[in-house]
Amino acid sequence: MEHANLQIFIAIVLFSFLILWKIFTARRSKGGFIRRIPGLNEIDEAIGRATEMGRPMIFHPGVGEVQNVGTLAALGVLGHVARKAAQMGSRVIVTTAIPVVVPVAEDIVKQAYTQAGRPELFNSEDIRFLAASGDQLALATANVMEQEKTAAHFFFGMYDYTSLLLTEPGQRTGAIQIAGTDQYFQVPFFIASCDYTVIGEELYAASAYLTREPTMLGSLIGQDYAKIIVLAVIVLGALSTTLLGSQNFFVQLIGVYR
Amino acid sequence: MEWLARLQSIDRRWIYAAIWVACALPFVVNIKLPVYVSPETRRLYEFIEKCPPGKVILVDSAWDAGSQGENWGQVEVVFEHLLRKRIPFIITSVEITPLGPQFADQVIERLVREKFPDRKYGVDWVNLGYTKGSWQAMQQIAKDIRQQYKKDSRGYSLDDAEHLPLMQRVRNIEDIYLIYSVTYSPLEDWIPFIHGVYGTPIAFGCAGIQSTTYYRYLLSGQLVGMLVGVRGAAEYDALLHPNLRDRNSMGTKLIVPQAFGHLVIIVAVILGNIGYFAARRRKG
Amino acid sequence: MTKRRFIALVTFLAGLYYFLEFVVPPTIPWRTVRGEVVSVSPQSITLLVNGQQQQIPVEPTLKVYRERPTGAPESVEPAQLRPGDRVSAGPTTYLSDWLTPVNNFFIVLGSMAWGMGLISLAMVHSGNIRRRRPEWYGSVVFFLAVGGGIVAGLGYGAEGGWLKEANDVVFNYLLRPMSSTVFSLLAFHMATASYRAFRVKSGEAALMMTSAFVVMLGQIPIGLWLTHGLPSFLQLPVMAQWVLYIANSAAVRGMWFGMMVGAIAVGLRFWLSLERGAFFDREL
Repeated sequence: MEHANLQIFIAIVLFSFLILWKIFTARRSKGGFIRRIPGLNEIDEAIGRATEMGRPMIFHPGVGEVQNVGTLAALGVLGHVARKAAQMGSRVIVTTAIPVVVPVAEDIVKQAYTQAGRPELFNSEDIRFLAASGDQLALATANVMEQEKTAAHFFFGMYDYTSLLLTEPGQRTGAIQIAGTDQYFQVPFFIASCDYTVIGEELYAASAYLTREPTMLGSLIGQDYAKIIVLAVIVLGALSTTLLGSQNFFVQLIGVYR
Repeated sequence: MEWLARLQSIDRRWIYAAIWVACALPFVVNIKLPVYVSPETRRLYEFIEKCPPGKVILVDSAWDAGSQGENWGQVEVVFEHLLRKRIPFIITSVEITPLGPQFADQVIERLVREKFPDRKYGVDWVNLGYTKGSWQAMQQIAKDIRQQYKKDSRGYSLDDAEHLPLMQRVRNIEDIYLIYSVTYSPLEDWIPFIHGVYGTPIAFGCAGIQSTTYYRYLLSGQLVGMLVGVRGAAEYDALLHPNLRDRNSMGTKLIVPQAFGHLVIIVAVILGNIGYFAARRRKG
Repeated sequence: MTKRRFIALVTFLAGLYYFLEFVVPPTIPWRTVRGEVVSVSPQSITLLVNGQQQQIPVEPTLKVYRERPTGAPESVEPAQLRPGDRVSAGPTTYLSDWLTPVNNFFIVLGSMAWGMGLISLAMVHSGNIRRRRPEWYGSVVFFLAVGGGIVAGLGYGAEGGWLKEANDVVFNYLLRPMSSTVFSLLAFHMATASYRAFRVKSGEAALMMTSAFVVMLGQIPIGLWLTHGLPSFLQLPVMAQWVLYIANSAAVRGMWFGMMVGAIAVGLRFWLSLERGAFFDREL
């Protein structure tokens, strides 16, 4: 499909409307509830532990390009980690294989240290483009873990087969490891080798959860409304197909191709 | 009980050594194992069996050394099936790796040398080579293959009737019976842009780890079949050669180290749990 | 404030183009004609519209979409049409015509970032050498390797000569086998990770381990051998199929729906610069 057909157009407009509507109402009411996500709760704990031990931490924003939704969500988490680290006077090392991520991450971390009143702690050498491919980056990051004796590792974003190449060496250093990815088939590896894992969509909710900004919370509520619509369509589609056969009015209305 | 509790902290190097031995042993000792044929493999086999005369199969062989352990066997068995039944096929490699066509050539050369010496390039198969452009390239192939490829990988023009008689009856998607895409993680674009638009059946050959995201397409009928990792290749070989002794494809060879590797992991997990429970009982 | 507003404006405009390109129909709706092709000439297309013949002149701004049996439209050149095709034709809305240049612009912009990446690397390694940090000689090797890699890269696509040799050595004989080796490390890591992590500490953990064992054993011949005497629904390969087809597909679909809605939300927040707490709420 190169262009939206009528049904997709309606769905996009409807979902966007719901999300934006909830964002703006949440901004006015300044409230919203979000369920507990254990992996994200532990981030502050991990930063605190690294600070107590006087060791730096590593933030790895995945192997996706900067426009990838997972990478964007990961950079949101990096903002939080950098702010906390700056408040506690600790060091964050960012490693990446995506060159465009370097200036963006540099801005985020620099801003966090400046706002915490510790600009002298920011070192641009800590934002490291280590290799051009995921597997070489994993080896290089493992090397940084050994050399810098890091105490906390955060892996957020889009991951491919290199996930385990990062987390297993990391596990051996004894550091506390927290991971989050929207790549379904990498989740088992993270669960096996990290202390906490944030799964799938929870990654997109991470910045909302960590910052408790009304805008982000509103966006989450809007997403839930959109998901209720998706669920309703699935249930109606399944029911009508079961009862009326595959060529019923509802299926034609939704316009599924073969 | 003390020694049992110690099972939960076996030095990782012992496990590494066990994996190494389990994976290397079958290369030293010649073993063949029977396999269960899963529905996704059987569906692909049966679909290819029903290929009508005059149609061709498009094999998107977009893999290289990185995933050859799984993908080599997956193209090998399907090529053998096609060569045996004399179903003509066209090889392309869309987007993922420019080395794909070379690896496909290696697989076919070996098959032709060992099993089908009378099959000829240009008549039974054509290798069009690598092309960039993901779904745009797929659509161009579907609309008019000559818009995407002027020459094959050996430099013959697609209109060269002397060297490529096969290509003289292939114009667009209507001449293609099935698209079989083999790589570590096949491009899902084949489904919306080709199956969704033209209704052409699609099949995948993918790495075992990636397969979990593709099963839903089998359920919805958007994929007609799928070969999953080494297992898929071994199963297809079993369908091609009902007698275990006749099987000698890469899939049949590699399923053995995979089986032993899985066993080592299972045994390690069980030992770890024995140690865990022993330690718990000791603590009371 | 100016920088922030500028970023928000550029982000909005870039996003707006892609959004409009997707939702606006490719031809102007009220000037688009739908019908069956009667004849095609280089100057015009004759369509049968509601029982009446209508001539449509072929102009550079004309876009033609052919309806496939699946109901999906396929963009075609007028020359590719055949009598009997069902088509819709009309003047272009231009948005899609600019897609390739706009994409290329972003690719060029992205490639510039490689320079930044290299600068970042060079800064780290020159710092290592200047300050004689531990293992600083590794950084000297880095600069030598970058130099060597650039020279070898010049031989890409060369027909012969020492540059091609250098390219082959660096990319085919060094980089490729090293990548495969790194890939194979996964087997070892996977074994130790599962040994360490799979402890039956709770009911959920027991369930997870049972399904892992069923799938692992079901994928290999040993699973078949262990349970071949049992009724078919108790055989490990059959149970593994159930886990993969039903339980796994349900989970994947559920996750995908949630993730896609989440992606729309993240996309909207970035497009409209509503993202708070991360980048855009404060002066950079």
